[in-house]
Formats: sequence, C-alpha cells, structure tokens
Amino acid sequence: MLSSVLAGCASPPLPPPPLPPRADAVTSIAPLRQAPTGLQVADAHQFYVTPEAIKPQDAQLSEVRRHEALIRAGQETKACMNVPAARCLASLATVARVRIYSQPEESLFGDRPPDVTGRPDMASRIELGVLTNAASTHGGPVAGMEYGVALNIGGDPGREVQGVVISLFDANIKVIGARTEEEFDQSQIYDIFQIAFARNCPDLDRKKLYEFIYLEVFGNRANENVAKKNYVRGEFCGYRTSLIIDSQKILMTRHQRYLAEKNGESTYLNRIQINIEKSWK
Amino acid sequence: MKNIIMASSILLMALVTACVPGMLKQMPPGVALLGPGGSYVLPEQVLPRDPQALALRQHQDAIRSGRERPGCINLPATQCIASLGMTTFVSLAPAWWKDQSLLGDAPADKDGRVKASTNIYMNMPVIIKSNPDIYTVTIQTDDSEYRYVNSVNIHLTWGWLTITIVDSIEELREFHVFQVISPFMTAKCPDLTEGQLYEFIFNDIFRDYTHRGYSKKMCGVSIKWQTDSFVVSDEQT
Repeated sequence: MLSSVLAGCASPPLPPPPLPPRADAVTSIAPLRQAPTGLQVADAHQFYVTPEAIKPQDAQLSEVRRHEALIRAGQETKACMNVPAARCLASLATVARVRIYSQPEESLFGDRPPDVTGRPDMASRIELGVLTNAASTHGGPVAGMEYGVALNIGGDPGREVQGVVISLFDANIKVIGARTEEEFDQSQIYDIFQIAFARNCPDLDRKKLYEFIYLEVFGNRANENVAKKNYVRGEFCGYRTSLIIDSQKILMTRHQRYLAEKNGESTYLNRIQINIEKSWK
Repeated sequence: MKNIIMASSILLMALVTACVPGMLKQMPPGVALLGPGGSYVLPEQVLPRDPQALALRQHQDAIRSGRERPGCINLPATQCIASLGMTTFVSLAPAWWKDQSLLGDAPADKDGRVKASTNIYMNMPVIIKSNPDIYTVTIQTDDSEYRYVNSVNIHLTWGWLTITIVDSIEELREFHVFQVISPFMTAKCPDLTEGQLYEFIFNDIFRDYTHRGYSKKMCGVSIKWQTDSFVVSDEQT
C-alpha cells in the first residue's frame, strides 16, 4: 500500500488506522526487558565479548565458571569479602553484567608472566565495570546502572578479596540526593552492596542499608565543612567502610579546555567511592 | 553522522516538496527506508530475510490488530519504530546496500561478532504551517539482542527554536508534536487526547521557568526539553 504511494504521487490511499489495544493486549510480544548478566572482556576492537573468546585456556576463568555453576546450583552462596576472588566475580556475574579490563596477554585477574628474574607479577587489584540488573529492587522492566567496582586481592593462592571499592559513576547524583526508599531503589545500589556484605549479613535488609548510606556515609557531611570532610569512616556488617570524595582536573589540551569551559562542560572529574575493608577488631 | 542526517534531510525536503508540485502533502503513516536517489523503499523489499525487519513486521501486525500496546521506553527498538510508524511517516537510514541490518548493524566480522548499533536515527517529515520540516528522532538502546530502548531524543530540524516560543496551545498544535510523542504515552493512557498533551507541553515544559531542564512525568514517561530537543526516558531528574 505504501509502495504505491511511494512509486507515484497519486492520491495516497491511507493505511487502516490501528485498532485500539484490546483488554488482553500485552506490553510487548518480545520478552520483557532484563539487563543482561555475565562476564565480558573487551577485545582489541573494543567489542565486549565472552572471556572464552580471548582467554580460552585461562585457569582463573575456569575457576570462576566452576563457582558460577555452584552458585546457580545452590551449593554455594554469593559472597565477596574474604572469599576467593573467583567466587566474588562469579557472584557478581550472576546478578549483573561484569566487564573486566585485563589485557589480552594478562590472565583474567590481570597477572602478568614472570619477569626476567623469575618473580611473578601478581595483580593486587581487579578493576571491573558492573552494570546492575535491578532484579532485586524493580518488579518491572528497567535499564541497568553502571558502577565501577575494584577488588583488592591478596597474593595467596586463593586470591582472597581483602577490600571492595565501589565507585559511583552513573549513580552519584542519585545516591547523594536520595532521600526516600524509592529514590534509593532507583540507584540500584543494593544489588552490589548485598553481595559485598553477604558473608557477614546473608539477608541484608534493604532499608537498613539505605539508612546506613543516608545517615552515616553521606549524612555525616551534612553539617560539616565539606572540603575538610572528604573522608568519612563508618562501620557496617562487621566491616570498616569509608567514603572518599575527590575531584581532580581532567587532562585536556589548552584548546579542549577552552571549548569545554565555553560550552559549560565539566573540566573536573568527580570521584565518589565507598571502600569496604576488614574491621580492626 | 551529522553530515549524513543533513544530507538525508535535504533529500527528504526535496522529495516532500517535489512530489506534488504546488501542493504540500503529509506522507501517510508507515515505516520506510531511504533508497537510491532519495527515494523510499519498504523494509521487506530490500531486507527480506533480516530478522530485525521481520521483528518490525510482527510488531506492526500486533499493534495494528490490538494484540500489543504501542510503546518505546524499556521495550524493543523494533516495537518503538512500529509504534511511531502507526501515527506518522518514519524513515530509517541503514546502509542496507552495504548489508547493514534494519537497525544499522554492520555484517558480522570474520570471527562472527556483530557490533550492535546502539543509536538509531530516524526521520519523520511533517508539514508545519505549510512548510516542510523534519523531526529527527534518535533512539538510544542497550546492546542486547532486542535493543531495549533507554531514551529517545526528538529534535525538530528547522523549527526547534520556533516551537519553544509559541504563545498559545493553538499555535503549538500546528507543530504536530502529538503524532510524534503520543506513541510513548498510549500504553499507560489509551485515552490521551491532543488537548491534554499540548496543555502538558505548554504549561509544564515550556512555561515552567522554575523547573527548566527537569523532566516532567505524564502517563508513566518522563519528558524534558534539553537545549533544542525533547528527551523522553524513564529517568526521574
């Protein structure tokens, strides 16, 4: 019908108007939106692919897959602090899309081959991009939210996770400005904290976590001089937590800086991160 | 990309004006692709076996028969395009002669990987006060198989400044915003009238100087005016 309109310029016969949605009409004939989960690694062309495509023989990867299978089968709980890094990665990968930024010549955790003297070059930190799935806080379809997560790992054979650093990228305004439970839900911050604290608080209450973030992590700053209180300490679920707020100039050329200031764009990079470490006790 | 949009918009302008000499006519609702020489072709003519074109067809049939509600945000991109194509003429511009898919994915590389195109550009030619104009609609999606829509940017190519300084709802009516924005709303508000939407846009978006740039909610979607275009999403800010 449309083709006849397009071919010539005769008087266009209008297509029939769509019927109004029936009472039993579905939202979509396609499956409802759920943010994808699983591990991904960036290849040389900045495609995110499954780690098997780049590191097929990696021992650490097969360890992560083993933990993933155990978690899915219900034989192991999700946990992050004080457990092997492979189990932490597997736990995150079952609820979110996890992107690892290790180079192709490195192992999955970022270990490099031994140097000329034969000493191993072990990674002490795994940097991750975590896109949350919102499955725990949202009933309906929703987009995921990106967080930066870094795992501080030891050099022991199990590579135990000693600390978790959570950077708020997309969510910084949402988390700082959140006042009600719904506003905290939108930031989807529970998805990550639940796993980080799972060892000590297996059934972490959502409201309790929001109260802690609202009152202690960001609340302590309310009546203080903000510039002097960029490091706030607290304690939650038996772990030491701290907040670091920092802003630094973005490296730019003179011309780039001129354009950015002219267009009213930010020339500062705001770093807002919540650290979770072992308690002193 | 901007060059391509500009070039295609000039082609469309020429077509809308040249088609019927002396008289400007609104294109009938539908979805078409840009063909050779600025002509329009139908998706099934040039992409007969493309899964995304087939999905578009299925969504069009389902919406037309009332089995599926029209909508965009958090729904597949093909459903979004089909919904927009129910009320207005939509033209997509994938390079199908270079084996791109309907949504603009390049063919798989030698390892079989496909780089998902997460920005989908569309043109909607309209006649505003007997002048041809084009709504440039950009759908931003995620990279999953179904390309679920995150946000939609609606920009009026020539009239974007004029639309912000309208003096009355009657003047706003001439910009045909309803046929571009109503497909986002009808899922939750099936009885939305033109008057209600224009009242919302005029009073809550253009005339609310204290909350300029913040999104306002209507029928479950957030709409805001950002610099020179409407942004539709489910964000709260």
